[in-house]
Formats: sequence, C-alpha cells, structure tokens
Amino acid sequence: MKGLPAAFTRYRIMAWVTGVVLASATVWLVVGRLFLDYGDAEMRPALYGYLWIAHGWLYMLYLITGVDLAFRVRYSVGRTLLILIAGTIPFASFFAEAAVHKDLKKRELLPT
Amino acid sequence: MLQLALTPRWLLLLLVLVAFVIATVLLGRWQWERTQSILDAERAAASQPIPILDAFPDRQPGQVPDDMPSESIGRPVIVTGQYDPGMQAIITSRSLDGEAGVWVVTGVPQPDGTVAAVLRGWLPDAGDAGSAVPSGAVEVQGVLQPDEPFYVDAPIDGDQTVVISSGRLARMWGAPVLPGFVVLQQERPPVDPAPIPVPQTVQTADVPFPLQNFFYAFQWWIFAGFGVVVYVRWLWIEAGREEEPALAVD
Repeated sequence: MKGLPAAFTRYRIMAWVTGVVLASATVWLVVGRLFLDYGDAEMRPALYGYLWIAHGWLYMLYLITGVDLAFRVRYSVGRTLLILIAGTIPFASFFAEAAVHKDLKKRELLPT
Repeated sequence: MLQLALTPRWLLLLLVLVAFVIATVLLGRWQWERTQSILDAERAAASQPIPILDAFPDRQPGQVPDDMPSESIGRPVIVTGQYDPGMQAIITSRSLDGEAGVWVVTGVPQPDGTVAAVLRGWLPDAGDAGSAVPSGAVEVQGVLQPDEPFYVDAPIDGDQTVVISSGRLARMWGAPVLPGFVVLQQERPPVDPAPIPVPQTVQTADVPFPLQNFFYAFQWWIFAGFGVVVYVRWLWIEAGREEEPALAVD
C-alpha cells in the first residue's frame, strides 16, 4: 500500500478542481438559460465556453487519478465506475471524494 | 493472464469493454460531425450578404465607430441608397491586369446620416465616361474591406488621392464615412458605362471555431483508449494476485 496516501491526495485535488469547474459551469448554464438568453449562442461569453472545455480536459486527469486510486485500493468494478462517473455529474465528485476519504480512514489506510 | 481472460467473468468484462469502445468511438465521431456542421452553418451564414449597417452591430445609429469589427472583414454586404455626386474620390496609380489606371470610390449616404464608401471599380483614367456618378436608387452587392493602412500622410489633391481610408474620405467629403469600404461586385440597376469591378484585396475572415465540440470528439476517442488500458491493467493485477496470493494480502 505504499504510495496510497499520495494517490489519494492526487485524486482528492482532481475531485475538487474538476468538481468546482463543473459546478460553476453548471450554475452558469442554469442562470444563463433562465435569465441571460444563452439559448442563442452569440449571447454566451467566451469564458463560459472555456469553462466547459477546461472541464473536459480536467476530467481526463480526474479519470487517471481515480483509476490509479481504485487499483491501489482494489475497489470493485462497480465502485470504481461510480467514482469515475462522479466526475461528470455536477457536485457528485465532492460526495465521491468524501465517501472515498471515509472508506480509507475506516480501513486505516491513511496516516493519522 | 490469458487463462484468466478466458473465464466467464473476464469474457463478460471484455464484452463490456468492446461495447464501451464502440460507443465512445461513435460518440467521438458524432462530436466531430457536429464540429463540421457548426462550421458549415457558420460559413453559410457568413456568406449571406447583410445590410451594410448590420456589419457594425455595436454602434449607436448615426455614429461612426473607430474600427471595423474583425468578423465583418470580408463580409458580403448590401448597400442601398443613392450615389452622392458630391462624394466621389479618384484613387490614383491603380492598375488592373497590368494596365495603369485609377479606382473610383463613391459615397452612398445611409438613412442614419453615415456614408458607405463603395469602390465601384477601375477605369483607365479619371476622365473616362464610367466615372460619371449614376443617379437614382441603387442596390450594391459587394464585400466589406478594411481601410488601406499605408501612406497615411499622402496628400489630397481635389478629388484625387492615392489610398482609400474612411478617415481620408471623410475629410474629402465632409461626411461621417463608415470604416472600411465596399468592393462592388454587382449593382442593380446595372450601370453603363461603368468602372470595371476589381477583386477584393483582403480575404474573408474565418468564422469562430467550435473548439468545445472539437475537443470533445478527441476526448471521446481518448476514453476509448483509456478503457482498453484499464481493462488490461486490471487483468494484469488480477492475474498477478491469483498467481501469488500471498502477496495480495493487504
């Protein structure tokens, strides 16, 4: 289990970064659609598009850290997939990160 | 490792992997086609002529903006109105197909008080019959071009000068001239004799690129490869665990 705490830290960082970017983009999307006429592509500012592009690439990194962690902890296929998919659902990566954290602590795999 | 791969559980996982790879490859292709169709639609929209004043969207009516929006450079536009006989400039030292001559630029006042400069075309010399300003309503279809940026200090001699720029034309005509000029391609009703239309100098600026869809296409394809890597790595770990069970104990 050498390297697990570092792998968890990497996963944790990506869960938060990906989660924050996806959450901001989602909130922006909802506000834009409801109040700012974003149905019309010309109304959307460039930063809005960049946020979605950023999420796409950040999710790639999230996948790598997530799979690396799942291999190290030897999570089941189903559990691994849940962790990975959490990076595409708004706010879900925060819960996935918390669940993994709790699980690793319970199994005493993290230094206290 | 091969033995393990042929067990029912791993064959099922292989099936899932194949389905995943097919799905992601198709999804990537879908985003790729979306990228192309967005580009096609944008290009089709950009090749439709728009009224000249619509090429300057961020503008108060009657105001002349400092610059032409970059997306309007090379934009097909339609200018309607009447040529103003008091607003014609002869741009000297312009050749066409190697023959020396001049360009004729004439102002078409717009309803809001601004003036669109139309490069009607080339003539062998300023006294040619084609330089006469046509009267009556015209509809000019042409391409919007930016001001010529050179010889900014060149002199103005009556109605003659050497460079087209809206600032210079505004001084010559005493009128608010819109940035850039329209290179005439067709006009209705046809004028005869008329200057020979000249080719546009600056090509069309391209439309915005749908970067998001373009990247998504590649990301789907990367997912496909990622799925294969995960499958193989997983199999490798499991096979190692079965061969050396003692080491697998945490």
